Amino acid sequence: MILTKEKVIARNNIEILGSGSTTLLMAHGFGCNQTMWYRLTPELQSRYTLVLFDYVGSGQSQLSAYSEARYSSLEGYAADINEICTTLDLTQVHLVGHSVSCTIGMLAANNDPERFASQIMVCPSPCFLNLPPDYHGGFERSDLEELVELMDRNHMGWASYLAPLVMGSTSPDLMVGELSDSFCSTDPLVAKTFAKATFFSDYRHLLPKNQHPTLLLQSQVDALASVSIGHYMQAHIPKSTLHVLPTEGHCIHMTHPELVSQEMITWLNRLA
Amino acid sequence: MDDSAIASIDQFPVGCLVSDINRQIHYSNQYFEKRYGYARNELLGCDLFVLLSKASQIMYDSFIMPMIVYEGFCDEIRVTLTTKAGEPLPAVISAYRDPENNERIFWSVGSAARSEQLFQELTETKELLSKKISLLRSLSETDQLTGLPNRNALTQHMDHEMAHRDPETLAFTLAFIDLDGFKEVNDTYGHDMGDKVLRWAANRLVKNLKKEDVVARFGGDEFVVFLDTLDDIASAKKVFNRLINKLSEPFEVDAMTIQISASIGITFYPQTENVDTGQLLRQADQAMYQAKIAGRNQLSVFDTATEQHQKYTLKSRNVVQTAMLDNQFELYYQPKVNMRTGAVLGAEALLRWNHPDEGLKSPATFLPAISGTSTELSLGRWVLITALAQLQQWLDQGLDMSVSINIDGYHLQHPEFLNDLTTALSGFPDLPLQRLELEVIETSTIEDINRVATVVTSCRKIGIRVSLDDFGTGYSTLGHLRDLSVDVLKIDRSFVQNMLHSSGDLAIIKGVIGFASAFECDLIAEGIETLQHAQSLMELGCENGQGFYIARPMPANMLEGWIEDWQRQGFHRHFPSLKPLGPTQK
Repeated sequence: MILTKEKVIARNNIEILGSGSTTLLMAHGFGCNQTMWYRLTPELQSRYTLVLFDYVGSGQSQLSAYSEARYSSLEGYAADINEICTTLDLTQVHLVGHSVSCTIGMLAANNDPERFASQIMVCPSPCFLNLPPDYHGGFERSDLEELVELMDRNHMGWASYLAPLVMGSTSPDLMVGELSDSFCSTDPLVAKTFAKATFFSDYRHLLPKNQHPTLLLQSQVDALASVSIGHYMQAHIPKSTLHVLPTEGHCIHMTHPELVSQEMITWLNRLA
Repeated sequence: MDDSAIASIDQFPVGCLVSDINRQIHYSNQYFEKRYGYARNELLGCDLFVLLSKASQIMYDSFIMPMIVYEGFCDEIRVTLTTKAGEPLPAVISAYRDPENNERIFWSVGSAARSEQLFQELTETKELLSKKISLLRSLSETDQLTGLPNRNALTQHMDHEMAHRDPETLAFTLAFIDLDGFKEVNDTYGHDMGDKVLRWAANRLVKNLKKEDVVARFGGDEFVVFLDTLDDIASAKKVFNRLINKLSEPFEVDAMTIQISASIGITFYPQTENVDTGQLLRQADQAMYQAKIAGRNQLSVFDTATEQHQKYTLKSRNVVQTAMLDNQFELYYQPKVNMRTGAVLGAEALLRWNHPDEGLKSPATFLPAISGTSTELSLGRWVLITALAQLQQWLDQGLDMSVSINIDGYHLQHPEFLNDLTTALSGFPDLPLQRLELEVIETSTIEDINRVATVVTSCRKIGIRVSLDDFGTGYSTLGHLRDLSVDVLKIDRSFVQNMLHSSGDLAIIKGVIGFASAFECDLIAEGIETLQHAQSLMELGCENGQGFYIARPMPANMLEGWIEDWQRQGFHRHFPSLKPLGPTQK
């Protein structure tokens, strides 16, 4: 299938806000969708052009475009970003990612470095697993297996749980309709696939390859991406700047929007 | 909140907890003491994550927290909370954020023990279902007697191969195997023995093929082999000839020596045209049938050319049947005259097809495709009845006419022909039968000369005249003349057309004229195209003729006008030196 601009806009539910000469592509993290940026956008759209999107399978994207094979590794999500940039012909993009989207962003930038100007990483982690003795991602494999089980329990029901067995896992009937409008409502298969791609992977090898100026915003107290991970990333990404913010939690762009947007504006001013 | 209110909340059988946006706990009720082992006020000021398992912490950051910020609440999220002693307990939590009250978040925590039990049961059900499904799949795909894949499994395998393998490299042989004389084994020794023979045959097939080949029991004593490779046809034939030999070796069952054999039909994939699983199986089955007809215990390869022809015939039959229903067929009539006297002897009925797209079509363009089929018989019956009706109409109008009808050899030899003829004639009880002539096409394949002779004799007995059409062109002409007593010989147009410059054709015509005289038959020449042809034939002694020089075949309603014109001036114009006689003179 040839991807046109219109097709990608519909597929990834792309929203463009503001009209500044500087373009920010904002990539949501695992679990939610582009509306997670809603507390940042009023401040940012007065200065920049904001390109918001949902990964295929999340938010109001087209579920019909979903492929379990493509999205079972982060490379598939990175391909979404690359395709958005190509079809919309975005250049000098500042890639803003939250959590796993910082890794996805590194993959996308590595694929097509010319299109990107910098990366802003909000609570990033290149690997959530504890891999002693050198790396402490925060979680044991058993924790992450429990996460997948908990997701099963939250999606417990005939359709999601037993249907694949009866109908065969490749049945397209499982991916019917669109998701409800509810925030964070995700198809169980999509959510689990995204979870596995996010939490069981190790992309630390990407860090030294990342050639773009990179702002690392780490939350002072964050179970998912601790400050030590921020230090690790700073040590391995060549042109990186680490700011540890006096915040608690992993969704600081939602809980502390003023602080995060100010950090971003300062960063972009410095690069300009 | 006063003490009594707090005391009341303590009585609730659910956990009530208040935190802020930074997860700091500001209140928890007694439920946490009872259920989770935290002393009163022990949780105050603590991080909410103290209570959440690691996985639940991720749930909190990925789903719960964003939802609380964005929507202001979340409902019934299943998490794992840990007791002070570190024991994980399933819990279901809901939360509400109060934007007015310093963004306080109010939590309710309930036990999810029942839900967990339900989930465990669901998981067990899933496992059970999974086992049952795989058992059902295996049952639905396995032949119980032989343990081989069954018909369903084979077709699935073929569909899958054809859909998923690289079409550039996919090539295979499909064989249909039927045991010869298996029914006799069952009848003689009983079904138990029959089952043992089937198991033996299945085993022998599997042993003599490669692992990647598929042997399936198709039903009864039929097996199908999917030979995964096709290097060349000769080696595929070699494989199956070897199987035929292996299957015909004697073997012992219950101390009895049994010997069977097998007929095998094979077909190959790919073919020049797209074929699906069903078509391939039919092809192999047909080839197997050919092997049976040819004497069993042998191999037959499916011939795609034969199949193409069968398809073409089937299509043609359908088209002709539709055209019959649409009344697209019509009889044209070509006058036969005495060229010396000008007398009109009658007319030959000729089939024409008023094709809506292709215009007027002669029988040569469509009869061969339906030759030997029931459609041809239907069309033959229609010609018979239509010509009889036309003859009756002309006679009723006072026109003194005879009509001849061409009867195809297949129809003539068909057991129902005399019955068809009688039925057709019964519709016209007053018709003088001597006005009807049946033209037997001599070139038709007359296989059963005795049957044809019986039919001809029967016809002549009731007064119907019979002519041998296209005389001289068939390979057994003289024999036919001897065996069939006919009323008229028709000299074929091919001899007439060349008689003016071919001494050979001229000699044949002279011979035919001699035969007619010897066998006391009437004589008529076809294909009179010029006056010279007519004159030469008359000089040789053949006065009766038909052809374009006299008249082309015409629709029935034009014949009367033509006769009038012929008698008034047409004959003079064509044969200037001769005068016509009345139409009844012959």
